[in-house]
Amino acid sequence: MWVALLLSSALWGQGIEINASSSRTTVGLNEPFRLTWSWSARNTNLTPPNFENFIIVSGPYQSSQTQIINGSASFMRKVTYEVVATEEGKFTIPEATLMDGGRLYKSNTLTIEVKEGVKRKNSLSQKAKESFDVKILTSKKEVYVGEPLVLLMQAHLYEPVRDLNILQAPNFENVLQKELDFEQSQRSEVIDGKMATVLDFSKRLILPNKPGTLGGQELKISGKVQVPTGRRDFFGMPLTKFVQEVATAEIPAVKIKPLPSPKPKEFSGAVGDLKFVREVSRKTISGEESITIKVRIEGTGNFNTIAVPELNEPQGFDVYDPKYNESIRYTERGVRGFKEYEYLLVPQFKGEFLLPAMTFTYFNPGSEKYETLRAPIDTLVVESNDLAASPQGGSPKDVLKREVQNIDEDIRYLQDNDFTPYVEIQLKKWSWIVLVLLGLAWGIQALPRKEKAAVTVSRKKGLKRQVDKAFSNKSQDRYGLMLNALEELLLEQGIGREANHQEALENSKGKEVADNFTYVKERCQLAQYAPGSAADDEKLLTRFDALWEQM
Amino acid sequence: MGADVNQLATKAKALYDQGNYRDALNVYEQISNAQVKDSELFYNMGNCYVRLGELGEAKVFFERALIFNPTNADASYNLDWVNLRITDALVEPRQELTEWISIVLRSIADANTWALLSWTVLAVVIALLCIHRFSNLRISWRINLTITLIGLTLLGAGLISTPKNTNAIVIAASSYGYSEPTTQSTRIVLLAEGSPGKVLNTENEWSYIELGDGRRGWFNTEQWMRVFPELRLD
Repeated sequence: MWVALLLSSALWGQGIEINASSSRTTVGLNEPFRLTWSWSARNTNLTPPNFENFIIVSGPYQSSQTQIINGSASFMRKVTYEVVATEEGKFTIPEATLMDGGRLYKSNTLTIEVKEGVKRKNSLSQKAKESFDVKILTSKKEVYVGEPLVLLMQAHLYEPVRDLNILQAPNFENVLQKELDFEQSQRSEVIDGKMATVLDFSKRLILPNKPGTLGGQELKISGKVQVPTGRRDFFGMPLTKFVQEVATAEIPAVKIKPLPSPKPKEFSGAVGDLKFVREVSRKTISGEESITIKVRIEGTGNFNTIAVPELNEPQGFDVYDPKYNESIRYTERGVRGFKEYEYLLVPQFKGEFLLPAMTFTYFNPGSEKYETLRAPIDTLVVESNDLAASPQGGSPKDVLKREVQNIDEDIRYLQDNDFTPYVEIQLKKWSWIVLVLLGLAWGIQALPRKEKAAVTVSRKKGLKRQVDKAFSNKSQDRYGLMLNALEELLLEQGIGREANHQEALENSKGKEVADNFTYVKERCQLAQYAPGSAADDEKLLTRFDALWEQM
Repeated sequence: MGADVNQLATKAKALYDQGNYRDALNVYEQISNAQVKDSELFYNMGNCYVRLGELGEAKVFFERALIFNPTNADASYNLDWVNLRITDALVEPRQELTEWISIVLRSIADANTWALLSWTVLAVVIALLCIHRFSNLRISWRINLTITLIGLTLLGAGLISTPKNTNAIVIAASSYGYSEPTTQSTRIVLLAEGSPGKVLNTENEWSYIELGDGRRGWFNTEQWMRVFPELRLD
């Protein structure tokens, strides 16, 4: 039993120990440093931890070492990564793990503090840091949604640098991002008083999809910088070595503007400098032939989101599912190319058919306006003896009245006016009210009068004129007319129906008027029945006139 | 209010002169929303639509300008200009006699003026009839009847001259007419932008429209705009 215990403890003591170490525990931002894991076991592989907050600049570099001392062999393996921190802070690098013989072994953890502006540990490292930097240039300071933007990534090399490598590319949301085919170029420039080699190493086309601000994203590149070691070789030449270094740059802020409002209701979402083309292969065909119509959007624009309008199908044809073609190139000027639907139309009837008009509305960032492109109405003619005429009723020829070419005339200019809000008159309501009042006004005319019979002013004048005329003409009925006029006068005075006119007149107008009335009446009656006893007409008319005035 | 809309009109004109036709149109729409119904306003809106290339809408607004003032020669000219540049369907809807009379009357005065004139004349005759009935002054019934007939004629002119235009115009690039208010039914006709018709009935998003040659069909209301009033066919 003791033997077994000793054996097992010996086996336990042979467990694998993994040691994690760092070249520095406090590092500057963008300062590369090394992380090393070492362990003593053959034929085993280490699983590295997650390098969150760090980027691997180079590595892993693996090495192994076997030592035999006094006949006792020992084995050591190492894995080294060169990393750089992505942000400031205090970070813990978790344990690396290793599986051996069904057992899991773990390393120790490491704590690394990252600070901005930490002084490099030696002048060599400091010099390496200053040997190159990186810059991002943007083609525009502000763009509309869907308008292309080009980012140029530029390295400034103050010392010989090799193995330039993009560690972290800017990562955008809501944009289409494409690396442009680009021939790297380099030239010499003086930057901040120092001679530098300027290397344009990357160009990216950006097409933003949403308004906002583009900026803040970081570009990180690494490179190996040749720095002098301060020593000299056998021949007195200075010795140099290559040191890994990292440089970062932020994208300058670019404003992504929303498209102007209000957007036309038929706006397609396309932004750019575009053309709308509708190509008709043939406009007149026989019954056995077919027509190909291509509907195409071409030019420069946000082709990633552009949708080609669907064909407004003409009557009288079978239209097959369209064939889709596209050719898109990403260039510095934006996304260029075309998108196209190709329709095949097979005639079903003979006759003339109308190919409806089509429109395409897009936003042109150059003119900063919405523009509408139109494909006009066209006529397609099918000539065939085998096909029947269209059963849709009405010849399509009738549908197409005319299409007139533009002439050199323009519409007339705006009109000026003092605009005033319209006052709504309730015309019907008030008209009904007026009509009802009018009806009532006419209605009350039919009601019986209380006393007076109506003798109008005009009627009175008419009677007087008749009497005067009859007497001047010596008309035979002149006395009858005078009696009628007297009766009318009595009616007007409201005493027409009184039994004794003499008395009634005396009461209302006085004795003189009553006597006058009786005289005129009697003379008239006498003259009517006994013309020989006719009174002097002149005297009678004078008395009548006096009575007329008095009454 | 009047001053406000005139300030807006000045602003709209400036925008139009700068070539900002869409913005100018928006300002004119604000004026229209303030219950301004002048022929000149609709004429200017029509001009904006022409500049924007939306000839269907332009035609609607020039015709609307002519409804409010049939003697607006510029609107008539620009309407002809638009008609020359769009493809019309068939012929214009038939003009009824009352519609013709209405246009003639509106050329002389608007409906409100006719109505106010008639009410004044009828008020006079009502007053004369009352005087005739309730005072000793006797006025011949012939005079009263004549004035009454004149008043009623003027009132009729007011009622007839009230615009009752049911015309509508295609404002989409094209519009299919169906035999029933569903796209599943048979297509009867295809009309181009600017084609006119008379609205007979509406049902949900469909309008039953009579064309100039007497054909009738169901069209998508969204693709048409009424000449009068300013509302769409809904």
